Amino acid sequence: MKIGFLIILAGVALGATGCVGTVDGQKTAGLYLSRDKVSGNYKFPLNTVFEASKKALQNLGQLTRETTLLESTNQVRALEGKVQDTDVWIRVEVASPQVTAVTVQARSTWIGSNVPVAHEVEKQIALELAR
Amino acid sequence: MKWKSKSPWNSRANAVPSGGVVGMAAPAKLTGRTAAPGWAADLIASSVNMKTKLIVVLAGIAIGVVGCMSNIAEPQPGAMPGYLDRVDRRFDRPLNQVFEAAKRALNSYGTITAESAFATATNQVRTLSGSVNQTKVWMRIEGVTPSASVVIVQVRASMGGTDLALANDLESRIALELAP
Repeated sequence: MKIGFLIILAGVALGATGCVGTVDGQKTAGLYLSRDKVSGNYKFPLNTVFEASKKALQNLGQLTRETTLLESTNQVRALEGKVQDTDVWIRVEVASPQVTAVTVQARSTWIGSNVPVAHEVEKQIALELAR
Repeated sequence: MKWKSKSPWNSRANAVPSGGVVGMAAPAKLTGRTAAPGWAADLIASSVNMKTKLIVVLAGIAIGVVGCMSNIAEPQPGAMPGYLDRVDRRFDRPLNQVFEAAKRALNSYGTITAESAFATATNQVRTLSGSVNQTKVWMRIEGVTPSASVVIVQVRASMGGTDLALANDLESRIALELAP
């Protein structure tokens, strides 16, 4: 019973720790303990939403990387940056011909998420699109 | 809390020891010890259990963190692993020209899964990620001067292995693509 419990515990620890997948298809060191992303859909073309996301990230913090993901059938672009010492990843993809989906992921330390920052970035993208 | 009669924890939770404190009785399996009173045996057993659990959890975390390896397509590629998994070569061509040649080279061997550009590096840096026969390939193209670039090709097979021959082939292919 005890050994079984320990094996299960070790399995859970191994499965839940180490690498956390990011929305841009990469991996980062960390633990997935709670939700770390928010998403929204906008009736704008992908490039418009992508440019708005870039501006939002530059306004709030620093843009470090732009990526175009080619493994999906949908058009997918991604951004990586830093906002208030929090690593932020933004995935912009075509959900339907007229709708673009945005997913913002924010992780503060290797152990946890920072959903308020993700919300802030997502809100800033909406504001940039409204301008 | 009342545990079910068949629960392995029932002797711990439901029994009231002589001291009158609920939850301090030793589990049934440990009460065979006669040298120590029930509550002491329970205390020793629980502390051993706690230590074991803590060690297991810490070991899991340590193994998991170690298992997250970085690659050259990341903004901070991290330290080199203990073995050589990459080759690099300098080309006297501008970055964009080398990047397009690297794309063609990777496309001719396998598929490109992502292309990136870094905004913060002092040098201009662009990267490619892809796969060739289920082997992961990353290329990092850095502009060292306006007319010269360095290409690093990293190859990582399954289970942490590498394929330097493939990395060299890709480098040569880039050189061929750049040849007039």
